[in-house]
Amino acid sequence: MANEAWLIPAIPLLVYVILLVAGRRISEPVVAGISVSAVLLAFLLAIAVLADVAVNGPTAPTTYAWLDFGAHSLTVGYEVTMLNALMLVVVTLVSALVLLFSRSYMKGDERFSRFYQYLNLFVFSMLGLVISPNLLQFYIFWELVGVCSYLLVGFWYYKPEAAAAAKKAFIVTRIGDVGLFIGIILLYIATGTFDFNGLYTAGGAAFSQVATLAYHGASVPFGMSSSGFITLTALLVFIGAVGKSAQFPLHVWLPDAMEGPTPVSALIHAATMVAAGVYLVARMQPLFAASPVASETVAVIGGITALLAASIGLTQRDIKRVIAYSTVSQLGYMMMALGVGAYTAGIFHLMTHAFFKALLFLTAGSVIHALDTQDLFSMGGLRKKMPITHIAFLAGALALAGVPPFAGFWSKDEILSAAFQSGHYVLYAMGLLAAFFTAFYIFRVYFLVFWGEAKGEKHAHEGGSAMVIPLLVLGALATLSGFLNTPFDPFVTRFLTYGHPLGIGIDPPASLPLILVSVIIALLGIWLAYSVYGRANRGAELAKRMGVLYTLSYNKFYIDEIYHYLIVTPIFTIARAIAFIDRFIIDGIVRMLGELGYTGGVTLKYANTGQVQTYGVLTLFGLVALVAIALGIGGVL
Amino acid sequence: MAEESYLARFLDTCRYGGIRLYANAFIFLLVFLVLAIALPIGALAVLGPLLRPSKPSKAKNATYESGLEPIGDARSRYNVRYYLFALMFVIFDVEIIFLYPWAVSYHTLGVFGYVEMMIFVVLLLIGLMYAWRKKVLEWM
Amino acid sequence: MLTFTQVWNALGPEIVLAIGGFVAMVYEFMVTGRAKQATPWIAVLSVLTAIPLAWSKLHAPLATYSIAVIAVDDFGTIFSLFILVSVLLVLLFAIASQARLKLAFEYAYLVLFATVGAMVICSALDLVTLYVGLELLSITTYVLVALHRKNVKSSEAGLKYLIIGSIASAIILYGLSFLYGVAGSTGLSRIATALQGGYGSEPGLVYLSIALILVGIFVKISAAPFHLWTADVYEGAPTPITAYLAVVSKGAVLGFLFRVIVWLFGAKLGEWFGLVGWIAIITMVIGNLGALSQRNIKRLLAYSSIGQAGYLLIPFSSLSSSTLASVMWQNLSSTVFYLFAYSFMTIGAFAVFSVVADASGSEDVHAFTGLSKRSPWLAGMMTLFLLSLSGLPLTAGFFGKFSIFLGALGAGQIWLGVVLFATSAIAFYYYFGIIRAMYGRTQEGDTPPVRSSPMQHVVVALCAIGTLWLGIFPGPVTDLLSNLHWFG
Repeated sequence: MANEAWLIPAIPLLVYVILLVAGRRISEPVVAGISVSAVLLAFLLAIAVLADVAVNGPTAPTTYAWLDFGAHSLTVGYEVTMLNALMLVVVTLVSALVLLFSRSYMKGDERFSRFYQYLNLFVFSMLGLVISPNLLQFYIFWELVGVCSYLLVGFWYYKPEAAAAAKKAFIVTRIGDVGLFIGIILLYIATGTFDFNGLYTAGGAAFSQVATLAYHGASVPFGMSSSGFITLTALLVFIGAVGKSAQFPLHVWLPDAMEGPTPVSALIHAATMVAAGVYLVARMQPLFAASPVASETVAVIGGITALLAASIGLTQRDIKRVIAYSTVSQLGYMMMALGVGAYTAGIFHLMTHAFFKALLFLTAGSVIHALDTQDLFSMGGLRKKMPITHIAFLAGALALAGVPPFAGFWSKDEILSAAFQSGHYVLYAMGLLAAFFTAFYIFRVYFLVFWGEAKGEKHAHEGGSAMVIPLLVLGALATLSGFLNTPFDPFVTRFLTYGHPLGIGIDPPASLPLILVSVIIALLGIWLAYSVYGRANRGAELAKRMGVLYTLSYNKFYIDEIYHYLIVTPIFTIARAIAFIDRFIIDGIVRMLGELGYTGGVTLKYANTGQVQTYGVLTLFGLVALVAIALGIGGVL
Repeated sequence: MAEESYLARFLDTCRYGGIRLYANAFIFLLVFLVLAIALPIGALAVLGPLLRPSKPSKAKNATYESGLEPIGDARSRYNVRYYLFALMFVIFDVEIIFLYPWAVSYHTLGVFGYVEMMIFVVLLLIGLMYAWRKKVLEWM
Repeated sequence: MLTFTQVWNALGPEIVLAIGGFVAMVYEFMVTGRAKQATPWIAVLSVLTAIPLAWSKLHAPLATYSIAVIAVDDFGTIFSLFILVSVLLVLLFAIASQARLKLAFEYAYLVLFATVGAMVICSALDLVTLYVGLELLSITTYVLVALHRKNVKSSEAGLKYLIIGSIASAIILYGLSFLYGVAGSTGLSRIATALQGGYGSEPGLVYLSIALILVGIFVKISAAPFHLWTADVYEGAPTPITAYLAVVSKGAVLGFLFRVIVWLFGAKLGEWFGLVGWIAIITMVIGNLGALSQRNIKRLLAYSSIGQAGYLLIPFSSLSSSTLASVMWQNLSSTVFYLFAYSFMTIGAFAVFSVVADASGSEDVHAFTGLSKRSPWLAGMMTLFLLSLSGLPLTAGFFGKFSIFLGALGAGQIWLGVVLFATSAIAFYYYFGIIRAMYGRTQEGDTPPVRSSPMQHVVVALCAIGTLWLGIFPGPVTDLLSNLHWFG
C-alpha cells in the first residue's frame, strides 16, 4: 500500500484543479462535499499506508529523474517512513475535519469555492511536503505551503489588517527560508545529494560520530572542521524551522496571522504548517544528533519560546490571539523535546497538539461565529447556550493544561521528564513555569467565555451539524489520543523507532514524582484562573498588582516594535538615503563643481541645467575609480 | 589588412629593438598637450601684458574695433532643416569616399566586391527614397 | 577570398533580418493609410525566418573565415537565438500596443536593424566589426527611445540615452584602441597571439584597456555605479522599447563582454573576479534597494532590471575566478539560461504593465489596484511574472537564479550567492507591493475596466508559457546548453 502513497497528495490536487476550473459554477454544498469526501478518502489511504508500514516497515524512496544541471542531477518522488506515515494520518484527519467545519463557518461567503480551492491546494502542498524524499522537493513544497498560508491569511484581503498580516507572515518566514536554503545547499556541497536517505548514508558515520563528512570524494567547504560544518548546517536548517514554526525570535508573524478565517488558523497555524518546522528538525534528526551545540540551541530556543509565548498569552484580550500564543508556546515545547533528544516525545506532542489545538481553534471559531466578536471581555455565560462547544472547549483546555488523562498530559509530561532526566534542569524549570502559565491562560479564556453573565444582545446558539461533528471527533481525540503513548504502553515510540537506522528516540522511563509535580502545577494554574475569573472578573485588579509585568506581557514584550525600529526602519532609511544621494548629494557635487567653474566664467550655467550631466560626471568618477583599481590589480600604480 | 599594416611592422621593430615606443608615443602626446595649453596662455596671458602698452579706451573695448555695432545675440540659431540637408550631404559624401578606392581596385576585388558595393549603394538609395517620401527634402 | 556561401553560412540570420528590415522600410514609406499596419508583420516574418536559420547553425562545424571577422560558434548562435526569441516577443508586444501607443511604424525596421547589430557583436571576431555592431545597436536604440517625437519625456529620454550611450561607446572604443595599439591588430585571434595568452609585453596598457572596456559595458548594461540613466530612459521610452532595452540590449552587450574579455583572456582572468564581483554586489544592492522606494511601476521595473544586471554579472565573476574549463562552461550556460528566463518574465511583466497603464492612464502602483477583479487573467499572469522575477520555485526565475547560484558555489564564490539570495529577499518586498495592490482592497469608482486586444493576450500567454516551461521542465534547455561547444 505504501507504494501508492503518491495518491494521498494527488487527491486534494485533483480537487483543487476541479475547483479551479468549475468552482464558480457549482454550489456550496457540492464544493464542500467533494472536498471533504476527497480528503476523507485520502485519510483512509493514509490509514492503509500507516498499517502497511506498521507491519512491513518503511519503504525505499520512489524517485524519478527531473533534470540535470551538468554534473548535478535532481530527482522528484516520494517516500514513506514511519515518521511521515504518522504525519500523513494526522494531516489528512485534521484537514478533513476542518474542511467539514468550514462548510458552516464560511457559508455565504462570496468566495466560498475559492476558499476551498486554496484549502485543497494547501492540503496537497502539506502532504507533498511530508512525503518528499529529498530536501529540494521538500523546500519547494515548504515554499508552497507558505504561499497558501499567505493566500489564506489574506483571504479577507479587504481588511487592511489581514492584508498586512499576510505580508508579514510571508516575509518573516522567508527570513527563515533563506537560512534553510543556504543550509540545504551547503549540505549538498558536502554530501553531493539532496536525498534524506542519501544524507544519512553519506553523513551516516559522521552524523553519529562527528568524524568526517567525506563521502564519494565530497569535502567540507570553507576548510571548516567537519564538526563545525555540521553545527553550521544544522543551525541554518534550524533557522528555517524557527521561521516556519514561529519560534523566538521569528514568532511575531503567527499571532498576526489570526486575521485569517478561523478554520485556516486551526488547520494551518495550529495543526499542520507550523508543525512543519518541527517535522523538519525531526526529519533531520541524525544531523542534529551529531551536533551537541545545535541540539542545545534547539532546546534553548524551544524553551525560551515556550515560556515567552505562554507569558504573553496571559494577558491578551483577543480569544484567537491567546490560542495563537499558546500554539507558539506548544511548538516551543516540541522544539525543546527534539533539542534534548526526546525525538518521539516531540512527535507525539506534535500529534496530540494537532488534535487539541485544532479543537480549541474550532471551538473558538464556533464561539466567534455565534457572537461575532473576538474580544474575551465581551463574552460570557455560553455554558448553557452552547453546551457541545462548552464540553469540547473544556476537553481541549484540559488537554492543553496537561490534566490527566487528557492527551496533552501524556505528551507534555514526556517532554518535561525528558528535559529533567537529560540534565536540563533550567529548561525543565522554564517548561514547568510555562505549563503553569498555560493552565492559567487557557482557563482564563474558559471562565471568561463560558462562565459568568451572558453579554451582548446577540442570541448565541450552536452551529449546524457540520460544525458540531468536527468538534465531537476532535474532542474525543483530545481526550483519548494520549493513551497511544503512555509510559505503560509506548505504542507511538515503538512505531516511530521501527527499524530506525540509528535506534534513536528511546525516551527515559517516566518517574512518578515528576508526573505529580506537573499535575499539581497544572491544577494550581487552573485554580488561580478560577479564583480570578471564575466567579467575578477580578482581572483588572490582578493587572494593577502586576504593574510593569502586565504591560510588558500585554504589549508582547514590544518585540514587534523592536523589530520595526531595528530592521524595517533601517532598510527604508537606506532606501531613502540612496534616493537622497541620487538626488541631492550627487547633484550637489555637480553644483559644487559648477561653483568651482564659476571662477572660470560661464561654466555654472551649463553645469547646473539638468541631470544628464550628473550622470555623465558620475560615470566619469566611476571610470576613474575603476581604472585606478584595475591598474592597481595590474600592479602598475 | 590591418595586421600587416605599417604600424604593426613598426611596432614589431620597436619591440625587438627593446624600445617601448608605443608607451613612449603617449609621452609625445603629453608633451604636445602641455605645449598646446602652455603656448597660448604664455603668449596671451603672460607675455602679452608684459610687452604691450596698456592704454584702454572706450572705442578699443568695443566688440568690433572697426566701429560696427554688435546687434542681437552672438549665438544665432539655424533652422533645423539645414542640419537635415547637411546630414544627407555628408552621407553621400561618404559614399563617394568609399566608391573611389573601390573603383581604383575594381579588378582585384572582382564580383564579390562589385556585389558588396552595389548593396551599399542600394542601401543608401533606399535611404534617399525614404527621405524623399517622408518629405525631408521639402523645405516647409 | 570569401565566397557568397561562406557569408551566408556565417551571417544567414543577420542577412535575413537586414533584408526584412529594408523590405519593411520600403513598404512602410511606399504605402499609405491602413496598409501601413502590415509593416511590423514583415518584421515578424523575417524574425520567424531567421530563427530556424540560427537554430540550424547550432553544433555546426566551427568556422572562422579567412579574414577572421565572424565566428560561427555555439556561443554566438545561442546568443543570437536568445536575441531572436526576445525580439519576436518585443515585436508582437509592440504590434499589440500599436493602437494605444500610436507608435510610428518606423520601429518595425529600426528594431530589426538594432537586432542585426546585437547579433553581430555576439559573434564578431574583430574589434572593428564588434564596434560597428555595437554602434548599430546603440544608435538605432537612441532613435527608438525617442520614437514619440512629440512626447517631452520620450525625447528627453532619447537625448539622455544618446549622451550617456555615446560616452559609453567612446570609453569602449578607447579601450579597444589600446588593445589594437598593444597587439597591432584588430583581429581577436591575432590579439590573443600577440598577448601570448597573458597580458603581453605591455601589461599596464592591457589592464587599462580591460578597465575601459568594462566601464563602457557596465554603463550599457546599467551596472552600478553606472546605472543612473536607466530609470529615466526606461521611464521615457515607449514600453515595448523599454522591454527591448532591458532584454535585448542588455543581453547582447553581455555577449560582447564574454566575446571580448573571455575569448581573449580566457581562464587568465583570475585577478578580475574580485572587482567584477564587487560591481555585481553593488549593482544587486543598489538596484533592489532603489526599487523599494519607487511608486512608478516602470521605474520600479527599471531598478529591478538593474538588480537583474547584477545577477547576470555573477556568472562572469565566477567564471573568471577559476581556471577550470568546466566552470567556464557551466557559468556560460547559467548566463544564457538566465537570459532566456529574464526575457520571458521581463517582457511579460512589461506587457501586462502596458495594458494596465493604458487602461488607467497612470503608471503608478495604484493603476494595479484591484486588478484581480477587473481582469483576473492579467492579474494572475502579472503575479506569475513577478514571482518569477523574485525567484520563487516552479518559475523560470528560480532555476535561473539557482543555476547562477550553483555556478557561484562551484567557483567557490559563496559570498556572491549569499548576496544574490539576500537581495532577492528584498525584491520580494516590492514585488509583493504590486501583488498586494492587485489582490488587495479596491477603492470604489476609480477602477476603469481593462480593455485589451487579443494580441496583447497572445504576448502575455507566450511569455507565461516560456516562464512556466523553463520553471517546470528546464531539462531540455539545460541539456541543450550543457552540450554546446561554446567557443568551438
